[in-house]
Amino acid sequence: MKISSKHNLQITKIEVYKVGEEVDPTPAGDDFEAALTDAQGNWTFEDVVIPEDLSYIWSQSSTYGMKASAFANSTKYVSDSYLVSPAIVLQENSVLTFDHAWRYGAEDIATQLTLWVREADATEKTQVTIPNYSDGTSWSYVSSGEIDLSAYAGKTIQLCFRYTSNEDYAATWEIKNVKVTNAKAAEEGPVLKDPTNTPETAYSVSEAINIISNKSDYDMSKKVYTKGVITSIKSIDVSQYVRAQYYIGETVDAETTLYVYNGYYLNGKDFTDNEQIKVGDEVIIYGMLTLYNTTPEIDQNNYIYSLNGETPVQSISADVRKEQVIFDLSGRRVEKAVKGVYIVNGKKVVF
Amino acid sequence: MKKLLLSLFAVLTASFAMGQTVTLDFTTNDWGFPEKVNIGVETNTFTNSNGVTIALTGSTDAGYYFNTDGYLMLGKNGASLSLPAFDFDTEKVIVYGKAGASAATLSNIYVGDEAVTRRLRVAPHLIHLRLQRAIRPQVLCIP
Repeated sequence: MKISSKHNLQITKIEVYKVGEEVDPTPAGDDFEAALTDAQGNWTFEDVVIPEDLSYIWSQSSTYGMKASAFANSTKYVSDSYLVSPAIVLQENSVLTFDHAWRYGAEDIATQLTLWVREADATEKTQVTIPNYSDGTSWSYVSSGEIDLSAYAGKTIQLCFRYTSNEDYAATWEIKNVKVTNAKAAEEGPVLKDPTNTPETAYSVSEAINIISNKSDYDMSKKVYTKGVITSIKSIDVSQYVRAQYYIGETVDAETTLYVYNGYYLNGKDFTDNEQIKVGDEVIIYGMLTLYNTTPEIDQNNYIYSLNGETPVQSISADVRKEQVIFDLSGRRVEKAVKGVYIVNGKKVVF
Repeated sequence: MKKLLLSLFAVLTASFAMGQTVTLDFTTNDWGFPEKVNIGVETNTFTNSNGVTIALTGSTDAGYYFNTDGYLMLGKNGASLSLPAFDFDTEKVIVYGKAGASAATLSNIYVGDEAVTRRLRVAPHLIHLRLQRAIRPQVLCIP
């Protein structure tokens, strides 16, 4: 087994773990802290169920921090929504604390206002217990108490504060001063999840299609670089969705093509002009490979990393665009919207 | 000469059995690394006092050496550190870097010519490599 480096590597220690021995001896380090009263920062909202009459559940306040409520127009609405932290790298014995307050919820508030942990790159969440809630009779903040995250030592996680409400109880929940000891925010910028796939070694169209065809052997949840030549352009929306749909092949007249679905322009920016791309342009796309029905494609939320060999000077965040989360009106998450009304990132959108 | 060294490396490590997590410490020069800048370029093997043997290869524009601040310098592009064979499967390797080292360092782990790193994380102090699958590392034949 060889460890190689592209640059000078200054090594102090190497540890090789036997399978099953997952104790991470990473020494204690800095703390991750988020007051949440200053700005939303990299925290995001994921609405699972949001009523048509509301455009949001969570909001940020300079006084209250992050605030969730599904009470409006004198009505208690059914909802289910997460406040999601940026990715946090945990070291050994990390402990989470935060201050929170709530009112107007059910007596068993611990079932309505909950905390979950999601590992990076995963979709499943695991609930962790919040030790302390206030009695709900005032707006006084109480400390959550210490929440042990040592089970996630060495892992990158996201904290997911889950707000739920029903027609009988729609609490207001306020959260601020989140702190995780021995942890830090994950590095910004592109995370090369597959070091064999870089802009310089981007997959060709045939390689990408081969990966899609053999997806059982491949982690399809990661974004990768794929290069090709634009063979045809289906549409460029410069007004509402500011994205384009087009096909790429290994040559401009290639018969085998890969569909680029709802992609953003260079550097993740909006499409603002129909002439920004044209047939024959050489592109490297950064996005997730997927098979939609029978169509191999690069899924939405992709963007053009380079166009005709030119790459923007500034660094590109792999998640420069907020992931679109789409639900139908029944609250079911869907991969793509077809004709009809959907909730996209908490807003009602007609497709 | 390189083949001879690698053969010796294989012999030295073939009988080396480790049944638990292995730690290789480079904060002291228990290995007998050269201590002059870039002196090591060609492949050489080094054995610590516990009998663990590794092989180092420097690149053409830089080599490897022990820095008396307490770390092994290995550079640059193309340089490598080869670990001995283990008698257990592994899926996790942590490479600790010197505090303040470049966060831009990109590293990878290979078995033969196959890159086996699933997730590459780069931090100033820590390179945390999760392998794509559990493997039983074999002695590497350096090309």
